[in-house]
Amino acid sequence: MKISFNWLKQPSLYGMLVAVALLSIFPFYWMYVIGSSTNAAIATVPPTVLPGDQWNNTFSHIMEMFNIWTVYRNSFFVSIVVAVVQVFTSTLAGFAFAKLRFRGNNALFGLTMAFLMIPVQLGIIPLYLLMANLSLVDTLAALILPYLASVFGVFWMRQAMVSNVPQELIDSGQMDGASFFRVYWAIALPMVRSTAFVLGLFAFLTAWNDFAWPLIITQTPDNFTAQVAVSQLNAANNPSYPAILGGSLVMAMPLIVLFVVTAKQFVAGVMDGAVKG
Amino acid sequence: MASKKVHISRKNETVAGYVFLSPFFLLFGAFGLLPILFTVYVSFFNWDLLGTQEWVGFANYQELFADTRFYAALGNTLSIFLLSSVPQLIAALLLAIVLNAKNLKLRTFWRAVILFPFITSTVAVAVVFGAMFADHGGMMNWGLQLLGLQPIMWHADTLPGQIVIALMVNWRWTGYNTLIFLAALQSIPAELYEAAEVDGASKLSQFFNITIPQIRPTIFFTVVTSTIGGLQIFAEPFQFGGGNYSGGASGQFRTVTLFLFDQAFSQLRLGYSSAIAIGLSLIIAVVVGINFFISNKLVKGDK
Repeated sequence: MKISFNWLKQPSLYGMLVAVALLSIFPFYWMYVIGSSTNAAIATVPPTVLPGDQWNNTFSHIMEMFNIWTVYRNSFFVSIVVAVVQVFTSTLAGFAFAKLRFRGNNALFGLTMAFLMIPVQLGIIPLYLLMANLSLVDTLAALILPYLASVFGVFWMRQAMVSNVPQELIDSGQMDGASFFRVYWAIALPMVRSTAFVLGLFAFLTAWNDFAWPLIITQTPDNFTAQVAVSQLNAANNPSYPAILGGSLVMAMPLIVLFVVTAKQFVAGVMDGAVKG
Repeated sequence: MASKKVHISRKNETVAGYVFLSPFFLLFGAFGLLPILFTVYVSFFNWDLLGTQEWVGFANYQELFADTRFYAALGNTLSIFLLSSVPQLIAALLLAIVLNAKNLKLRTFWRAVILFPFITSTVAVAVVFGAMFADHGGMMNWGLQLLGLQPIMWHADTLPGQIVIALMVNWRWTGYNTLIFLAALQSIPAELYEAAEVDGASKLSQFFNITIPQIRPTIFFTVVTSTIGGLQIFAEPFQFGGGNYSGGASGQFRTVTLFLFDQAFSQLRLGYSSAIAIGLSLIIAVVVGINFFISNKLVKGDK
């Protein structure tokens, strides 16, 4: 059922889209409204919906709780390492599954697909014990290691290799005497770069927004990442709504910028993953 | 000569295959697969973080089956799951149909704006919604009073609290699922609708006889992913309850994962919490299995 409409005939449908758009954006706007107001603004009648002039106060209030720049540095470091390594492990394995002929290829791929059904998060207790054994509790390494391999990433990159990289190019690369790594790096990887880029975006986003695991494994403010920091504001004994909501916005800001810049690829990536999934 | 070269290349290809797969398998094995397998092992022990490790057989599971706190948490989890996934998937499908309209203007803009909430962390969503749905002086209660209704104790009462948590999930995920459905709608061959138009089928009948059957695999996919994610819900109720594992003053929105974390990291009962994790995994597997069964039944029913 393909519907069609135009601005004049069916304003209600556009009205609905505008309403959905406002619903999507309002919470972000409201974080700034409250973040730039005094604590009383949260409970005024009628509610405060315009920004105030207290943003600098809120910012220094947050800085008293933790150093925003340290948190940014930690989160950027963790998220970038996770994104880069996850793209590498996923494209490399995806390349092997899609383009190399070796015994066990299909069986190993079937095994990988079975991993998709495992609720990995529920292994959190042994993961904690493992990190304790490796003396990695309260380190950034403990935040990075569990996210370097992604089952979904391998699945997705294999699909991308199958549909974007012609086998003839692989074969002719081999004939010319290039190593298999060289073929992967110089021929296959550039041909799936847009899908790989979106996988990297998703990995970055997931690492930046991760909460349960960093909450358990980090202890000192020097190792706080974005979500643990926001959680600290929310748990403080004397809740300051400007600090909580302003802090949420500060910690979401890098993702907001990233999304605005890459919105097109982001949308394409979600829809691409959907068809393949 | 030539055959020897091919032979060497085949052997190299096998080696390259295993070498290229090894970073993924080693990392996933060490930090994904082993922990979940080890959870099974730990669940047979009385195990605390301070060093006690005592084999207790199935005692943790016996305790779990008799634990009313577990059933209460499971009930809350299923309730929040239904309140979030059902309206969300229906809304996502309707929005996808609107976004798939032939002559929609600003196509890319609507798609991007609808996906925007997806980038928000669960923590930030919970913090914002917690403030909007404050029991006293919150924006939502102001709105209700404007309409002449009684304010609702969102944090104190059971169903309202679960509704707010479900709304957080819906807000964050509806746009994502809309795009998934949109991708599926776009892959339906236009001829199917053209033929139906010729036959004089109504839009509604086209929806039920063409659209739904054509996108059934996608519906199945979204239901399964929201099941796996939804039954493990943690950050939203954690933050909504003020940043602790209790899930509200009387545990009215305490989910299974909150209960698991409480037993593991407050009570330091790693064995028992591992049994909870295994229990939840089995429940997720059963719910996903029911999805498979219903989905298969429906497909067979068509034939």
